[in-house]
Amino acid sequence: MPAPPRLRRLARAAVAVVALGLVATACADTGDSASGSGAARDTIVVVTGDQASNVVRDYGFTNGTDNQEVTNSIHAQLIRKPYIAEEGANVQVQDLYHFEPFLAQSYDVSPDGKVFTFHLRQGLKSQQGNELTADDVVWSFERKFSSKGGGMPGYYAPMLTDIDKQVVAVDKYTVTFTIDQPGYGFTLLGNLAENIGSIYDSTYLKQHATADDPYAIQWGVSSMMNGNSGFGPYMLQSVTPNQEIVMTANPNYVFGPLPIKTMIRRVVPDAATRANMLVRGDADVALDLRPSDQADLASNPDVFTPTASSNLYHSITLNTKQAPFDNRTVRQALAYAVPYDQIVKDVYHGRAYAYQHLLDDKQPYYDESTLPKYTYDPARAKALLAQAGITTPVSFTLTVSNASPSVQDSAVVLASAAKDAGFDVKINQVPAAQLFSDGLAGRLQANMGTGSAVTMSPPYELQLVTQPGGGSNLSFWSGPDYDAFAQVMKQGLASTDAIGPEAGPLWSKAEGMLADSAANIFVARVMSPYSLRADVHGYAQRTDRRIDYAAITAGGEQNS
Amino acid sequence: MTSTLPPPAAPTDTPAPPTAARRPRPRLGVGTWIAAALLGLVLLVAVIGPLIAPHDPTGVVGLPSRPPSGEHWGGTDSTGMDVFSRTLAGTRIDVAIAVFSTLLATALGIVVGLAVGMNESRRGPVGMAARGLSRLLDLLQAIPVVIIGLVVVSFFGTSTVTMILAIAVILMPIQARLTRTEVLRVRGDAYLDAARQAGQHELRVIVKHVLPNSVRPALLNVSVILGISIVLTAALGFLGVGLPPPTPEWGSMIAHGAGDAAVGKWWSAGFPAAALCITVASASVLTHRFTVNRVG
Repeated sequence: MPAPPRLRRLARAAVAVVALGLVATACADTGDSASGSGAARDTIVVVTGDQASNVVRDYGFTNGTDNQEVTNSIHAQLIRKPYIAEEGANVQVQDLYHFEPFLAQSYDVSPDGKVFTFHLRQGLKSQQGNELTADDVVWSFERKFSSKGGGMPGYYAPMLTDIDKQVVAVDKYTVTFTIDQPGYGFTLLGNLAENIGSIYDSTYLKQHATADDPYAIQWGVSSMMNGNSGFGPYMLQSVTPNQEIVMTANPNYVFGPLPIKTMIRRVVPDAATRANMLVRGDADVALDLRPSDQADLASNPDVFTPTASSNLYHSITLNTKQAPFDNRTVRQALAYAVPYDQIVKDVYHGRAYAYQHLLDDKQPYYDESTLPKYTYDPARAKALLAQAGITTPVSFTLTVSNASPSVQDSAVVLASAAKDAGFDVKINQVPAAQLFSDGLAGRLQANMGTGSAVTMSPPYELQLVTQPGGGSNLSFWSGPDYDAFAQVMKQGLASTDAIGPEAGPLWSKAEGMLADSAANIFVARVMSPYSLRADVHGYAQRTDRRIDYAAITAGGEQNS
Repeated sequence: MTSTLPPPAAPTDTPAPPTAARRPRPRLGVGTWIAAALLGLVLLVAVIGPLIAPHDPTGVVGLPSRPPSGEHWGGTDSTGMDVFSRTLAGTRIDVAIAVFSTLLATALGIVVGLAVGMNESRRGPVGMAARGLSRLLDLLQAIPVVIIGLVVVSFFGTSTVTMILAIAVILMPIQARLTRTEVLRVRGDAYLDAARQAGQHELRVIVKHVLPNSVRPALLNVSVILGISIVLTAALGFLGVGLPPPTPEWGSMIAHGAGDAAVGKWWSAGFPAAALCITVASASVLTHRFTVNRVG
């Protein structure tokens, strides 16, 4: 039976109202971001793929960009690396080999290079209003070493092994760090300048300590909002699970008032949507974009994508304890089967650059002449396999994380190109945690992924991927070649300055030995996956590839 | 001289098994013919697809993320693999997994359904086991199918065989319950008692009399199961637990291309999605035509 005319009119009116509402909603300004207004803004919207769930670094390292950015923003360290210009870059980068005061007013080193004395800024207050003292520094390191979850003893070994003796408060504003060998000094300073060197407000945290939880670690984890225990530029204002985190400027920040007063960190799981939000002006900063999206954004005048060197390496790790990679010649053959340039061009769309070694080539006294020159050369790979008497194709399984689209694509490109070099590559995609645990247990033949050193110190970087039992050593390289490598490392650590003329060539020599072993094949360095609105200024490429929001301003002229 | 007695003949008054009354065959509409043609095309491509693919479906054959062109009819994906060739080659994999998992699920389902239906009212351990199995089927059907698939694949790894097993495990309870229901309906019929009284072994009674009269719903349901199976294969691939790359499989191709589709590069997800839609829709139309209409 047809509806009565009155009902039909009502239905039509309802549809019209809903349609008008939808149009009005679509046209409305969200109001959070003022991109494009030209005036300076004090609020920015950051769109992120994940959300921080743990800002207590000593409880445990939690992967994910948001965890690290939020934690970095809450905390500050005694020293930091200054920002400098880099040739060919459109943003500043961190100077990896010098340090400037941060929470410390200054620091000095004893003539024998073993005692580092930090003089703290006086009258500096935490987010909770408590003054920074030497006791905060000592208590912070006691806390770091009290819990295995954060892995701090590992990061600081072998520089710091006995906190009670090595980290001492001389007076209210002076603290000393003492090390056994002067060669450890540069790595110690590097660690103190990263988030593993964060200093906490011990007065505040002690109020929440109990006999069972003497360093208030569990208390801190019990609620994200308990995380405001530092001296960093921003503090948590609100946390809405799986939606957004709002951070507000710390009024007591060491370098005074901040231009950005409020930072809204909104969760947008899909990378393409994040890119679209940036284009539309709904976001000021988009994190973890895909290289292809960044390449597409390059022609958009309203979007700025930083281009600078990076310490994020893309590498293949070969298990030297499992066939076929227990044979060095097979490993070297695979190094000639990797299409380095194709991965950079077609997978990363120019957001990476070919870089077939581990150490920073700008470090003092660096010498790359020790390195074998690996290029995509299938004929040479086949010749090496034939020379070793290996029957082709050599089959192996390459494991990659199912959460890294670029690495997955690189694996496909490698598998296709390596066919011509005599390799049959089977790709196995697993969750990141499984890749890590299987890798450490020696169950993987080969894996591909990205990684970086927390501290860009040559001995730290080299030991990171080679140290027996180390958390990033999935190649298990050992034997006479490794012993010779370890001997060179020992000589470097015994020198007075880790980046001096005596140690520098030794690190290069050690790196050459590592490259010759082909236990790790370094493919490329991957640039920052971030893009910003063109009127967001101050981005600098940090070593940890996170954004220093204290340096950011928004509004006014556009970046080009 | 010895003589052999002939086997006892079945009583002449044994009631004949019921047969479905013949109805006039309904006319097939245009939609049915189109669906049949499309499904036939899909099956043909499943057989010859890899042979007619213009490029190597597992190799990088061009620049990445290129739109459809004369060289690459379906464009290229983010690694430079030919989307059209991969969609063609993926037909064989998806259809093969669907067909074999459907056959396995149906065979297992019929056996389990017969065993449960014939024994669940018995006393003793056999009856208890049958009733336990019946509740297990209920339980399996209560768990979301994708969850079961994820668990099976997580335990046994990803390969064509494990995918077939996983999907068969997921779908078997449907067929088992259909068969069981029919078995419960026929197991008290007089012709079964007559066969038993004639000396036939219980297994022979089940195979010769119960099976033919209880298997029809499960067989009619095969086309439904086939459609579900294709969707499940794609769903597991979409969730990242399907066959490893660069194996061409529709679900993983859609998952891989979904991000690109959001920024206008529709082709790497669009072609496998279209293939999936055509296959499932065709199977669905034919199922509806030959089962639902007939019942009605």
